[in-house]
Amino acid sequence: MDESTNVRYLKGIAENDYLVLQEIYKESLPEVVKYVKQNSGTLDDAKDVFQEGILAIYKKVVCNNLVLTTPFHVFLFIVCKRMWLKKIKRRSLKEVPFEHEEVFGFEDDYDEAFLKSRKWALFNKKFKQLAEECQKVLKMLFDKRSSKEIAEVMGYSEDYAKRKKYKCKISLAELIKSDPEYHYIIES
Amino acid sequence: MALNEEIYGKIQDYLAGGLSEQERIAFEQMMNADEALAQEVALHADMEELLADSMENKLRASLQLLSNQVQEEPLGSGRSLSIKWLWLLIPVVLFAGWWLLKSPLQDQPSSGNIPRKIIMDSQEEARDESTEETEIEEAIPKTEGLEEQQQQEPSLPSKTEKPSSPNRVIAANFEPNPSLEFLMDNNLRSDDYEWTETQLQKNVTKTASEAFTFRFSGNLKTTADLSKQQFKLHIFSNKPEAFEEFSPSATHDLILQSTATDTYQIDFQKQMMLSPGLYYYLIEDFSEEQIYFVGKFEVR
Repeated sequence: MDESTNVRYLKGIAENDYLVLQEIYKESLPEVVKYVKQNSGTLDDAKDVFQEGILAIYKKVVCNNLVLTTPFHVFLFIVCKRMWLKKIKRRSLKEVPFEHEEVFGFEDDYDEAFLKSRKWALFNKKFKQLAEECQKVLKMLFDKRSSKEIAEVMGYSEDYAKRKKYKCKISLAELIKSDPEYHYIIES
Repeated sequence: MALNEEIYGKIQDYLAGGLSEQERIAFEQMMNADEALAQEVALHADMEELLADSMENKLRASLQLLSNQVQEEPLGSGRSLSIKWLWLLIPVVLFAGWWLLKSPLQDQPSSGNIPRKIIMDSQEEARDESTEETEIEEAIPKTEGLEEQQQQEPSLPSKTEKPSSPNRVIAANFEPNPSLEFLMDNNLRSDDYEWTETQLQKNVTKTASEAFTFRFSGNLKTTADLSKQQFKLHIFSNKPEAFEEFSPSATHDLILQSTATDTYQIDFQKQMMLSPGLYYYLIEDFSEEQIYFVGKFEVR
């Protein structure tokens, strides 16, 4: 794999290029699945780790903070492997030796990243359960659109738009809080 | 914790950095003393971050979609397996070679029971099929805009294949196209437009020779001036390469009628004839190459 492939993959991640992501999954996921399964994990664990690995790389790329000196798939595999070993270590509270102790600058809290992804999935699931009107209002709210803009798009008065924002956001918060998964996440 | 509008407003202002220094300190003291309030603030902060239309969240959506497609046998893992199975295939290949050499080709049964024959048959059938469809089209009274889809459509199953084959071929025609499914579930552009009162094309159940009326209508609300833009509707089969190479099965011009300030109406109807399968339609601002809508429907 040459340097241009590395650049293409990093650019694809930064730009959320679905076809490049598809290629990365095809190229690199099987090895991660094999490794995680050989080390007391499941396919779902491997998929979670793989997603987090790509997200961790994304964060570095957007901060212009990543220079690859190895082929991309080797790098991604090592990132995923470190994540998985940390997870096992936390589960078993045992020391797990790292074969690759090089510094990658990926010293963020992986647990936090995993929980964030679980929250993202739960929030999106709950968001889709809202009435279509509320979904539209909240979409605009989360995209930092003003009450005036929301009022214009939805055909509301500005006061009603403010009230609707409040009602919809509270409904979403209640839906999330009523799911046991949310309590499991925040107590983890 | 019951959240009244006043506290909610405070949370919003706090997260948006809209409180004065004094108010902020007071609010943080309230949070320190009230765990439920602190949790509520954390939840609202998370909602704003994780449901925003950010690139990171879009990336999460793509990764989730790709992960969902991975079943117990991961993508691309067949490579080592096939090498392993190759050894078992050697005697079969040798036997097949000996058998083919021994029997002249013209003596082969025409029922197509060996894999080689099935492949050849399906190619021939695809050709036969297109001839057959042309004939069907000619038999139907021509309506303006009746589609010719033979090249791009998923092919119909061969009549000479084993009973299980048609199902397999038809099933393949209904497999979702991940790229288009992804586009359907995501914002296609920055939020400067809104669809209302849309009537989407529903699934169609029809006989092979029947045409049907495709319909899409709706109001497009946008502050952009679309009066001079050229809009098109593209129809794609489910085949990944159709969308990847942007070779739609059909493309039609759309007429946008300005009905009110910043609102355009589209009411598109066309008679079409498509073979069974899953289809996607894209509404595109052709001048700007911007996609405004992606929908799908099945022809059964």
